[in-house]
Amino acid sequence: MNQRSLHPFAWWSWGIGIAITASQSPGTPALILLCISAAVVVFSKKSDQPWAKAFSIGIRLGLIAFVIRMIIGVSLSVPIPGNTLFTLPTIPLPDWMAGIRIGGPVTSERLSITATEGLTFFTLILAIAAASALANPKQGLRALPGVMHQAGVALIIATTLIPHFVMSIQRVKQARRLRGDQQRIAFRKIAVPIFEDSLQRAINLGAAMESRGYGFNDSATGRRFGSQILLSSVVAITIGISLFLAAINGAAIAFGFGIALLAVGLVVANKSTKRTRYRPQIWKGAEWIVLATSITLISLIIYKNQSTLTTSAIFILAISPIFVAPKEKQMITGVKL
Amino acid sequence: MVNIFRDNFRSRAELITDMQINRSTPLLGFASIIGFFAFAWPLFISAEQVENNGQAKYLFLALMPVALLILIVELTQGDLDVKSLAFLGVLTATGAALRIFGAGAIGVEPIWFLIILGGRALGKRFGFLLGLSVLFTSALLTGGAGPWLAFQMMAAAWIGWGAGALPKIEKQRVEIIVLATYGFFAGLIFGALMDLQLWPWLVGADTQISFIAGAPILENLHRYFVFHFLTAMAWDIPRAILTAALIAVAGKPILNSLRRSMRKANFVTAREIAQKAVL
Amino acid sequence: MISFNEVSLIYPQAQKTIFNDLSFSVPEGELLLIMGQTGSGKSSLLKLINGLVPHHTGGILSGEITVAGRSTRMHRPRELADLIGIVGQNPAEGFVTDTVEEEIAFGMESLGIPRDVMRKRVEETLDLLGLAQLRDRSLSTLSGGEAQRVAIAAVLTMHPKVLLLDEPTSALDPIAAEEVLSILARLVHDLGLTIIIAEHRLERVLQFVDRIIHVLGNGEVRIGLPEEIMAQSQSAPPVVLLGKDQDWNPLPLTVRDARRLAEPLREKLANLSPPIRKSPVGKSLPIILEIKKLMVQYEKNLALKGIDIEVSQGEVVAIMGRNGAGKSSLLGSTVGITPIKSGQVLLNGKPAEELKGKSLISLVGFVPQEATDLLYGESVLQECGFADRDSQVAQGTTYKILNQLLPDITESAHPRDLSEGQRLCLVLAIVLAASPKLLILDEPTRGLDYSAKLRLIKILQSMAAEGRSVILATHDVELVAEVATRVIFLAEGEKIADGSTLEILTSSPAFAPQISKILAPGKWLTFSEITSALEQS
Repeated sequence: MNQRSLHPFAWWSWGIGIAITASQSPGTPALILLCISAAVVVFSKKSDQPWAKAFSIGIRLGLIAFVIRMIIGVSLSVPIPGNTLFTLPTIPLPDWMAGIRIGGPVTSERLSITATEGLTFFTLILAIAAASALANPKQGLRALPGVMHQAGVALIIATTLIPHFVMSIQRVKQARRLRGDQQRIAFRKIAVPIFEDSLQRAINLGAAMESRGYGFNDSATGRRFGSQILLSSVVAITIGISLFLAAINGAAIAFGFGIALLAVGLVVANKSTKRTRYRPQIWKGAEWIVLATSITLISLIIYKNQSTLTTSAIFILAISPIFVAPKEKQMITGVKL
Repeated sequence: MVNIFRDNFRSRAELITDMQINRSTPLLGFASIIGFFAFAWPLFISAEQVENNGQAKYLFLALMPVALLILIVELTQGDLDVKSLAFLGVLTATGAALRIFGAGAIGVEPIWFLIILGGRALGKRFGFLLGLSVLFTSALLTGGAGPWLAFQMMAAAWIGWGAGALPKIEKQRVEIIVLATYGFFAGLIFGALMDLQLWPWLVGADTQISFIAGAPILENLHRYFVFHFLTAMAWDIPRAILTAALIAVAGKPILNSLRRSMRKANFVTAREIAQKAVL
Repeated sequence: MISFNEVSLIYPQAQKTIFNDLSFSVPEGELLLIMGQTGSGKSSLLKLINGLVPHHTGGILSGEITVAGRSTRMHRPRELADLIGIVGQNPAEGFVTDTVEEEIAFGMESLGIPRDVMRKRVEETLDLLGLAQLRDRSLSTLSGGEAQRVAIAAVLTMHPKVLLLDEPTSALDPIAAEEVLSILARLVHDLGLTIIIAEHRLERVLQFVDRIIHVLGNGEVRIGLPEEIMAQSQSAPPVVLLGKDQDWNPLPLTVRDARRLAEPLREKLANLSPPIRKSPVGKSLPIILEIKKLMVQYEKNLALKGIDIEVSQGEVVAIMGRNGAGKSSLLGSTVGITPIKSGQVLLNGKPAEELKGKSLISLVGFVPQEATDLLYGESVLQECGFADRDSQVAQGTTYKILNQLLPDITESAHPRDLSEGQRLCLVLAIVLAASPKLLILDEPTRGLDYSAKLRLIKILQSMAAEGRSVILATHDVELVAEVATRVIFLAEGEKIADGSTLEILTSSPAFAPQISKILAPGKWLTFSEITSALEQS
């Protein structure tokens, strides 16, 4: 195993860094540069695994969102004063649609505001898609802290079994031919054998996990305590939301309190598992650098002043993983998904 | 004669499992409230926050994953017994495989079918988790992960939970009709929720169908429905019909096989005993 | 090591008592075989030992089972994982992770074993079971034998004192089975493990075991040395049947023992000739299936490299060869489910892939390896009704056929709850409803016990007698010896032998049936041939 992949959490820190930067209105040039750096990094580092497709799907979805945003912005906008570029014919809609009319004058201010907002959302979508195209989800699940371990195991089971069930669907479809069945659409005849197959498998898998000591060491006390703290955390966040929506001061305090409680709750709950980890994912220099650039990026944009200097700094930071990260491991031949 | 040891033999752990559901209820409730506001904040936000609503978008975008994290930790920890875990993993794989492959001749998306029947047969907590995991897995493996992923997961989880929470119905024909109806509305509501979440993003602040901070809820709702009608409603109706149709056609045998395997895997007795103990 | 004290077991839904007042003990370092018909409770007995019954499956249990002093009543299976390892019937279904190395470490992670110890144990176990080259392989790419070894490795890393295996060899070809069994024998002898195997392929395991538990199915069991149990048992491998028939003493359990005792029999049989198998080849009967220069390709691999086969009416053709030799691809192409790269497959003169619906199933009936894929009904009766509709025959036809194959079936039973043998009969009945001219079976004897196999043999023989043709792909040499009129050997996608059963089976040491090994150089294949020849003389 000479080939090494970057820790999936490092990729996610990079993606989230870009997303947060985009959310702080860094200006159109910076947004475009963020998109470019995401694309450059993805295309130079991605593997041939199925999740690597996420980026191109992300581009498509992002474009759709952008186009919808533009159409709505141009055709349904509330007029704002400014330099009118052209005027669309006005079509009033029926009364039950709140007296909306389509069309009207389109100003350059309107266009530029709409385009910037659309671009922000586009960048956001792209940032998430980039991270999920690069980060290996299976390794990510495996690297989850003990407190998320159960959920991780369920998802690991799911991801490893998907190819099996895709094959099983193929077999069942063939079986219909063997019975001389010519019905075109036959959901039931496919679904029933697939479900029976998968349920039988679930029973066997449950028995196998049980007899191989799964859950051997779980203690109940730490968990109960952790769950009380989590409950207080949600309550605090809910209070924060009410304060925020009503525009009453103190929302930030409630949120901060909630998040702090959450952290404590997770740590406490994490202590109740005594599981050990065989050959955990490595977090080394490259991961630290990627994390550090991401944090720098975020702090830069929060204490920013929009200037050419910041914009270029953003670009350099966002694209930096291309220099430090190894290329993601390619698929072993013959193994799908 | 065989002595009956069943009661003291099994189910110390099973009891805890069932009690844990009850213990989790307040947490599930509050986390769902967070989730609800993450969807519907434009309807409730006050006029004073209007300058901030650029931030509000991001705040709620970030809160949804937090709510999910808390829920997942609470619902899966420790005593989610091994069997449920195995069922969860395997059913998720089935759902994702069906989604990838598109069962049948038309590109059917049978995940709602799966989540509803799974939640119905294995209970609301299981339905909740199944909704989360099916959406998550298929999004991660097939692409399509985006800022909306956490929202999709939460909505799917509610749908699974709801299927489990519907009252017990003895007659299976009635049960299937109820579930098919539920599936129809679940399909519509899912679409409406996803659109609600996209509303501030896709429309921006100052169009005729944008939300107005501080306006009466009804007024904002009206504007939202116009937006929904113009964009996505046309896609939701076929999905809703499809889900209902799949449940009507294949609901009975699948539900029966789910229940049969639960008996085989000894879920049912566990629950019966637990209920006795609680009463 | 293991002790059962007045153990009784019934399952909640079933009225039948599985075990009644069972008491026995197993000392350390013993290799024990559990035998019995399918459904008699072999698996239940295994699962009782590590507490899966009743903790996981439900069931009402009385009495006490202890393993190394720990009672299964006080401990859930997971709390016995460091003491007992269990490998299920289909080990691949118990895999949790996706590579070999992670799978082997999974159990230790749950037990909370420190990281450095885990590293060491994984390496040791990989070496012990010869899995070192497979460590990075994805579990879904393993062959049956490899998967079985990985599953054994995965429980061995927890350093259990007892190892339980449910039908470890029934899905394997003879060579892979041999590998797994020799590993088990080594574990008993080198590490002093106590191993208990439930298995119905007795001919493979008898030579390794110290004692046998025979589960009779009426709540009783019989425990004893292999010779004692075999002397009383109805179901036994050919070598034992021959030994009993000839009153050999001591009763031989292996070919080697039997050969030593068979000298007089060989002399007696030297003057007799085995009954001639009615092979219709050359009688210019109509040809049902004609395969010409068939090539099949999956991505880059050529699965079949130009195969020519003709099958005429009334023939029973066995296709043999290692896993991956192309057997399933060949069978699949005859019904048009395997896409053909080049060449032709003609059924009654028509290309197979063009046939559909009724015109396909009235020519060829196909029982795939996963026979349950065909089933989607909720009861036996409903399933038969669907089959009547698909085959366009009168209501009740399928059920009538099923009743002939299996007189005592409950019509309301769920198809998936039937035993392996009953389910095969159901699928056979469905397929036969359209009365096809050619019947194809892919690995029909996986999971069948002796009596179910006997029934299958009778069915196939009567089909051939009616003038239908049968093709079967199988690893089961004894089945081939009983029914086939012709054997085709495939290796790496090529046909390497094609001839009469006698000629092919007696010429290859690995695939020779037990009887022919005992009586070589005499050309005998089955026990029944010998008895009928002796009777006639």
